[in-house]
Amino acid sequence: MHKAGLLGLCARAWNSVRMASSGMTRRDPLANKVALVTASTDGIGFAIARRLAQDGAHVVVSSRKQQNVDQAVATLQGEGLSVTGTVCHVGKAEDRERLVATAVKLHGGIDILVSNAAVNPFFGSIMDVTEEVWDKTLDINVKAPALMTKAVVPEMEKRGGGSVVIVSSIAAFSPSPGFSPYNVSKTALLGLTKTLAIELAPRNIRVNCLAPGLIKTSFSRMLWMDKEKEESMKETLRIRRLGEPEDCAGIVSFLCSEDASYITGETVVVGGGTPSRL
Amino acid sequence: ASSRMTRRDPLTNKVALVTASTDGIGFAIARRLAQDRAHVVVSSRKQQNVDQAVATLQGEGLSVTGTVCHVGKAEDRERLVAMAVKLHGGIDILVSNAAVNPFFGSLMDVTEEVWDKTLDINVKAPALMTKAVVPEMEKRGGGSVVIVSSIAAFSPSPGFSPYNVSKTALLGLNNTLAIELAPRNIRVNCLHLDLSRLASAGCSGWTRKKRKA
Repeated sequence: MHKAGLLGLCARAWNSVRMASSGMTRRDPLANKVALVTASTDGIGFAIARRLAQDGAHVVVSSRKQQNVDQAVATLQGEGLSVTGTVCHVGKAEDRERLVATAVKLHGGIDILVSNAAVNPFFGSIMDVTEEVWDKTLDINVKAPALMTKAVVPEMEKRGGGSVVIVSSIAAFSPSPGFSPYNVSKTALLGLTKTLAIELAPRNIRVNCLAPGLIKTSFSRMLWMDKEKEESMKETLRIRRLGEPEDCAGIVSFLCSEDASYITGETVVVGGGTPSRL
Repeated sequence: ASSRMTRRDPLTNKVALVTASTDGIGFAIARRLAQDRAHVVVSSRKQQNVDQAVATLQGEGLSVTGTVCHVGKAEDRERLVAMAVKLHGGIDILVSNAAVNPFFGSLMDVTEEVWDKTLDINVKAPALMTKAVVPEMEKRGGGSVVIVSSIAAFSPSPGFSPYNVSKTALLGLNNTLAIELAPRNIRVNCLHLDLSRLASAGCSGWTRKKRKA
């Protein structure tokens, strides 16, 4: 009874913020929100972390490598943003727990999780994919987002609710030749988004999915660094340019904000018009 | 003439492996493939279930053999393939039906072990089973793979989080395999079953009734 009362109080606080602050929402839509972004020291993750911080959130960035964390934090703090960071290999339970603990210790809670960490450890024929490759891919790309979400849910409930964005890929819909395990793991994330959204809606936690198309990052370099390959990729696009990490950032900030308070269980494709149908 | 023959015995002389095929959907599939004249190898994790299914189907005059196969074990997958090749000279069809649903309840209670088991059996095993049969299908000039998924891939069943996710993953597996294997003349398709219909009294009764007859 006491717990229910407390939750009700938090929910009312959320409602009053929503009703009272239309002007504030537009300028700093994520003011005072605490956001965790995994794999956020480079590429899409970095662009998202930066944008969330620009929109007023306190952001905790993470990466498997300390020097990358340090560099990202220094860069973003240098822009006057409220950013801290910690090492986190999302496949390790203790690292996930530490990430959550860091955010709670520094900022008193968690409102937003952007699950961006992913691996693509194999390129070639499916006939050469070993069990170990399947294990690594499914562990990092499917299990870890599920377990990371599980880890933040109690903290979000204490805040009266929250928002999770899972980063998948256009490969979930249109498999990239040669990336079999990666393709499959990204399709699984569409299912994870829906199943989590169903389970967490009663806790006032929304779960949505971002499916980037071909974005120029070091992660996807193999697909675009060759000029001929780049031109070939553009043929499948309706917006005839490769995407930039920043193209993914605004939509994530929106999905995390109160402006998206009636959106859950959805996947948004940022793919320049690449066909996407499951 | 070929049209009539095709309609009557569309799978004549094809060799079909069906995993988890001693009960329910897998059994119904194995039976139908055999009725359509395929040589079917049924499989299950339990020998007694295999024996019972083989006896039942052979009793109906069908060309059916069987072996134990836990699809999560590499040696079992290899044995299943070897048996089909030894008995029938090759493999044309794989119906990947084996699946587990080891958990029901809140996401907050799903452990890493549950995720591992579900993804191992429901996603990895179909991929590796397909990998195991591809060389044999190529020797036959081509083949066909059917992956059994679920409507849960599209509409998650509340409380079955890991299972739902694994079934959605099979949609991705279906697409990626179809692309990769088309040049080898191997088709890959996915079957999405509505579990609620299976659970209905009519469907269950039909299945049981046919098996007893």
